[in-house]
Amino acid sequence: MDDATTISTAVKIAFAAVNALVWTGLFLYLVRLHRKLRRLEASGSREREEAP
Amino acid sequence: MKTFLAWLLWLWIAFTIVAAYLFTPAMEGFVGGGESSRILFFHVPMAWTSFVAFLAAGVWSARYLWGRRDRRHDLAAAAAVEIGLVFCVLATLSGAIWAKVEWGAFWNWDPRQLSITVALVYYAAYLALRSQVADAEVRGRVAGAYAVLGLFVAPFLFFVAPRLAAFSLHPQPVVNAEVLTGREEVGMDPAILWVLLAGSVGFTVLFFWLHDLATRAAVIEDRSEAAA
Repeated sequence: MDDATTISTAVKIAFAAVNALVWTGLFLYLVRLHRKLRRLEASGSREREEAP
Repeated sequence: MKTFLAWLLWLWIAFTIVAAYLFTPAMEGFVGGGESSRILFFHVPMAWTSFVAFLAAGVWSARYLWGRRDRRHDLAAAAAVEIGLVFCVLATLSGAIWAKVEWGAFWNWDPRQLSITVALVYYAAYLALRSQVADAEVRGRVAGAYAVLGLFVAPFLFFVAPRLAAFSLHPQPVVNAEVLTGREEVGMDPAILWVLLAGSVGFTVLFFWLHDLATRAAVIEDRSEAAA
């Protein structure tokens, strides 16, 4: 493996790592949002059941 | 979305990202020894997902108009357009950056640049239209009719209009070129094709998850506004 290939592969790994990190951040945010929505929906349906 | 499916999606897209950089060859004829061609794995799925989102908006609107006028269907259509616009903007921007690298300018009056920009304007106008109608029932009907019209406009802008032009700088669609033209133009490396398809599937599933979350949030907001 020559120097150029080594640098190129290293750059590709760095790009992949940054992309994967951004994707993981977005994913975890969506999971959190999903849980929050579930809580809000549950509290909303409880309020409607308790309403006279 | 069930937790298991969500993590499966995370794994799917993470694998696609890694494969896009490390397991696929660079395509010949592009800048940087072909490395600039890797935009394909992100740009095309984003454009595809925006198309799916705009179609979904039309379908939800049709369900609203010809169904029981369920407000959730109208809110689902609006959520689909909002998310579709995000993907459409990302596809346009990533395409413009790639155009600067490959063609020397961000904007080149290429038929595909023009058609995606018209799609952006069309669906941005949908949101503008919604914002100008106060009555929810009227808003649902007017915006619904507009989004149903989009069922014809979006396929035209994404697939027909760019092919009507005599000349385009844009790389020709190679996935389905053979089907469309009858000529054997499918010259894509199988690894590239599979990663591209995997990315498109992953982004499409991501859209439906985002859409589910956005619609549920809009329903909660709508109920709290109605209760206030």
